[in-house]
Amino acid sequence: MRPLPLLLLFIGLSLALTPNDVAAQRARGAGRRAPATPAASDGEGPAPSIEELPAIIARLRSANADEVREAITLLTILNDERGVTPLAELLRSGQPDSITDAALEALARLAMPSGIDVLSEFTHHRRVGARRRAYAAIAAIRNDRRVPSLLEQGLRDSDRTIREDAAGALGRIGARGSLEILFRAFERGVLGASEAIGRLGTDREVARFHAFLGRMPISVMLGGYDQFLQRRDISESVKIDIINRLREVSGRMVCQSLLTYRDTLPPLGRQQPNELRRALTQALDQIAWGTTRCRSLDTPAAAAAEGGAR
Amino acid sequence: MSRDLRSIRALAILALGASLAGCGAAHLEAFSYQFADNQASSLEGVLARLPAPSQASRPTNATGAPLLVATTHDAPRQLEAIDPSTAEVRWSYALDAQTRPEILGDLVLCSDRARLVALDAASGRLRWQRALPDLAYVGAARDGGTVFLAFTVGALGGARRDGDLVAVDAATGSERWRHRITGVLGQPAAEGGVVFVPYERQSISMLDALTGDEIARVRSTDDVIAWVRADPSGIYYGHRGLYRLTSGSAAGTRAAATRIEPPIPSIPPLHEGEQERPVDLEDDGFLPKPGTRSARGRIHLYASPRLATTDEPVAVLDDTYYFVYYRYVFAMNVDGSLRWARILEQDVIGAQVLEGGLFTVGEQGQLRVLDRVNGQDAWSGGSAMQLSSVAIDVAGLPITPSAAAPRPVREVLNEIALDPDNRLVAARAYAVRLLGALPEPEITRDLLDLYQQRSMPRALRDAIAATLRTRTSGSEFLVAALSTRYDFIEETSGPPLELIVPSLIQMHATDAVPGLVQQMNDHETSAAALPIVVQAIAELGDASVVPALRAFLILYRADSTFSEHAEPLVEAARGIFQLGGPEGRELLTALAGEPRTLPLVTQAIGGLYEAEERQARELAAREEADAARAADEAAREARAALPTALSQEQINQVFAEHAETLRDCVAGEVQRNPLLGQVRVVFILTNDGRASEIGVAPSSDELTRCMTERVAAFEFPQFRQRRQRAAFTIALRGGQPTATSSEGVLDQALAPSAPWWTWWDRRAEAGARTTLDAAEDVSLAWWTARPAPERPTATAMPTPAVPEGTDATTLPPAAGGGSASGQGGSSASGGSPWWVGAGESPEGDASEEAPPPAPAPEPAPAEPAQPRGRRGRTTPPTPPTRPGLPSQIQPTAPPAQPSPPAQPAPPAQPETPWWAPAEGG
Repeated sequence: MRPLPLLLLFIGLSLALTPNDVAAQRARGAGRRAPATPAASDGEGPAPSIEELPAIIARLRSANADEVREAITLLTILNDERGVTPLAELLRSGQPDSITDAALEALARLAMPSGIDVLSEFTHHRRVGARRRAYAAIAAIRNDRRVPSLLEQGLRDSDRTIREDAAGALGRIGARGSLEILFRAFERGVLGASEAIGRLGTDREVARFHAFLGRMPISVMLGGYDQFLQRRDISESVKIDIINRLREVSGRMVCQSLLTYRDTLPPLGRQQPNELRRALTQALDQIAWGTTRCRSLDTPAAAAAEGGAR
Repeated sequence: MSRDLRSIRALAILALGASLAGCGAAHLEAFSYQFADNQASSLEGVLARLPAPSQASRPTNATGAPLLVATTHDAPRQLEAIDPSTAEVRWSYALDAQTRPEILGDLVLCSDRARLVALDAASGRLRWQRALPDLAYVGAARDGGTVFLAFTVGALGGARRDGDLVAVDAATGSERWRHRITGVLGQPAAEGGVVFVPYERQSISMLDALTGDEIARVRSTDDVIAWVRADPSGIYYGHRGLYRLTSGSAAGTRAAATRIEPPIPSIPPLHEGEQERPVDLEDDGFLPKPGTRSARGRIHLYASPRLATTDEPVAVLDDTYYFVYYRYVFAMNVDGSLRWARILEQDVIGAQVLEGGLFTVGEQGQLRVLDRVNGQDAWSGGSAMQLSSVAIDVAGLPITPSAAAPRPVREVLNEIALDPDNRLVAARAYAVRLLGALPEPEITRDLLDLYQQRSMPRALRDAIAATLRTRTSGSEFLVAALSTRYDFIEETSGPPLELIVPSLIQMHATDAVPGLVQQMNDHETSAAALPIVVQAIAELGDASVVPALRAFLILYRADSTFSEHAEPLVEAARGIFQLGGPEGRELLTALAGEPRTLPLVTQAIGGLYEAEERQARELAAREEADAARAADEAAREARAALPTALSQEQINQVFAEHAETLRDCVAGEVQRNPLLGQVRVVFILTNDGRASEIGVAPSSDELTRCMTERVAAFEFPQFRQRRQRAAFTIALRGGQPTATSSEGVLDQALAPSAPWWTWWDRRAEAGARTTLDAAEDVSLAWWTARPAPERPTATAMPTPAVPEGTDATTLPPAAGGGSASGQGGSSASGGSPWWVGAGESPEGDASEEAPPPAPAPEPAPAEPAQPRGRRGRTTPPTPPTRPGLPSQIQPTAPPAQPSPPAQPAPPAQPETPWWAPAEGG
């Protein structure tokens, strides 16, 4: 009985937050697409020049919300650190959601350490959307030692999506110092911590990660295992251990995951298969569910390529 | 034969006579409504039959040893007699008991669904049994060899209300007498050959045990009687009060009775709409005592009467009350304060107060005596049994007082509150209330901890919250709790702000402000608690909190978070408004004018200004009203200090001050009428010092107009009554003062049939005197035998005080020319000015207002009886004549002798003022 309301809550929250999230992703995407050159202003007229910065900043104080949003966009395009402070002031002056969110996304695109103070303030904003954008903007900032601790703070948030975002961000920024809290978050059900642990953990953490096998959904565990398997700094013996454990779990998802992993391995050619590859092949041979065997999902070419390994 | 017949006849007559005598005797059936209740003499008779009070020291059962008789819970159900000292079962008797057993001397009574059985207390052998009537068996009492059984129905309502009281032989069960009544009866008590039967929850009928005749009755007129209990120390009765039957009981009132109010505990209401539930002191005598497991047997206040000292109306053993609620026992002092509390392992199904402690019987057979001092075991025993109900007779059980130190009450109460037994939530709430009444500041922390227990039932949590709000100490613990915050990883939750913050406000804990600000800025603070947090910051903080409130308000003023429920922002705005000074208000004004600010916030800010204006208006209005009240009060006091009416002297004084104002009016009239002897002004003085309805005599137009204008402008002193009649006479008598007062002038000259002003005309017609300087008293009535005054010549009028520029020949003399005297008889001296006036006494005027305290009644005015025209309104063109006067006394030449034949007798003075309009006219 209990999971149903949780599921509904999750769906509801997802629906409620998806537009913003999508917008944020889009903004982030746009940010990636938009280099520091003024030419990439999405074809909305001539790109602003740095000389126009004072005028753009002045437009942030306009009573017209559209004009303010436009100014925010222009500041993003200019990608100048001098735009951070006006944006911070704009945020602190209390604005409607659309302007606040746009300003936070702009700070994420700018990714300037000077914006971290205001972003830190907004990690305590009462609106989840604002907090999520603030954490996303923090995660975008590089080379600031405050970033991991702020993202760890996100793991303590009451909002699930923020916790998931924070966990993912910690993994992405390579905050190895946050492994302990990521494990605790994983223990408390932050599923995104799985992948982060997979990104950050060492051989020792793999063993600790195995303890969650059976307690967490396999789909979640595979997120972490995939990361471990992909990494070169994880020893082969540990990877073999992972594969063997997955073989014991079996099932379609494990099969697909291992098949994907096999495809990422370099072609064997004339080389003798090593222990890892043998373990992988053995696992693929043994994994089955119902009457279906994992090999049946394998492509003929891949199977042929793997033939030598057998 | 005839002799036999005679004998038979004689016997028949005797029998008839006897029966008639019986019918005519003043004997009433017991429980009759016609019985004379609350009769002191009959009650004294009952009291005289009672044995001397003593203290119970041994069991009452025939074996003389402590005894328990219990009903078992397990099938097959049976009665078991248990020796408490050894826990051995002495005997058992198979019975599906439906009522609690009773130990009555050598008998044990108990009923199943169909019969009442009487067993031998020593052996358990059946002595006798009776079929139950169609009434509920509510209990029995025993006195000597008679057992009195009470059955009733309707005690809890219903259409049928019947009762049976049956006296049976204790040995055989044979019936001795019986009363069947319409009404409800309770379990009786018996002592000294008297059966005390609670009746209709209001009375105690006292019946002779042998005959069943009612010999006395006590009826309470202001309380309920739910039970009667016979104790060696006396007969007790009551409901929640504990009464001892004394001669004072005959009054039927609480005040006159010998009684005490025990500290009845009340179970707190757990849900909305519920009320406090006081606990019963004794079993309700009108209800059957359950023989099966029932809550009614487990919630009880135990106390046992003892011999009272002379200064105690009623006393209880060890001065201790024991409140038992299932497994919890609370010992209370007579003042209701808690002495100790204890949690037992088993529900208590019965208890008896002993000297030194409370003997309890547990549901699973555990027996204990809880020490009266510390609640620890003074004795324990028993064996594993499943019991439902029990009769206890263990008086005199030897108890060794426990030497253990009592457990701290706070600790035990906390344990009770935390007890996971959710059957007992009500008692746990009671414990929480007791805990909250303790003075230690740490109790506040205890309550907070209890509130935060996740397993705490909602109702209990509410009770804790209510108790916490009553705390006045320990705010430091609440402040400390504000530092906690929600943390998903650490699995900590934020403080219960909805509980803490109201208490902090109530305690005025200003040191809580930093923590409150932190909570305000914490996004994990629930939306429900946020308004009161912000409100508390504004209430407890000073100007130093304004920056935090500003930041909060500015940050969220346009955010959708508060678009529908903007209370926190409104509270922040209110705080800034109150504490932020001009800058704060400037900010608020700016925010209200900013189009992106949420409409609710804008409205609220506007509302703040409006509310302030409204308050200012209300304050001003209040101040104005206060000032008006004060002014009224002052005026009232000033009025109270004013004279009721002005004296003639005061009126004279005013005229004296304005003499010169009137001079030319009089001079003009003297010029026109050289024979003018006096000018008289009559008027109504209102209490604001203004003259109105001014009449002047002579009533020439010129004089009237002139005098009216000027006199109306005078300012007289104020006085209390609404208005008064006043007059002033300017006597123009050639400088000779009149010998009599103006009062006398009026008295005599204004004879009822002849107005004073007619004298001149009459005298003129008589061709009499022409000068005014004659020493004639003008106040004499016209019929007085005297010559008419001569017409004065202008030169004859001395004018020592003539103002410059005035024609001295037209002015009356300034010194000694006028004659007047006040009402007080003060006469103008020979040096008085020409105008010296003589008025009429204001006293006697019909007062239109009688300000309290009423002055002594003033004498009725000595006015003419005849109605007169209103001089102030209609000035007759010619000297007026009194309508209706006989023709011979119309203004004509006066007769030589002053005895006008048609002159009506002057003393017939009506109450009508002399200026009143004529009747019918």
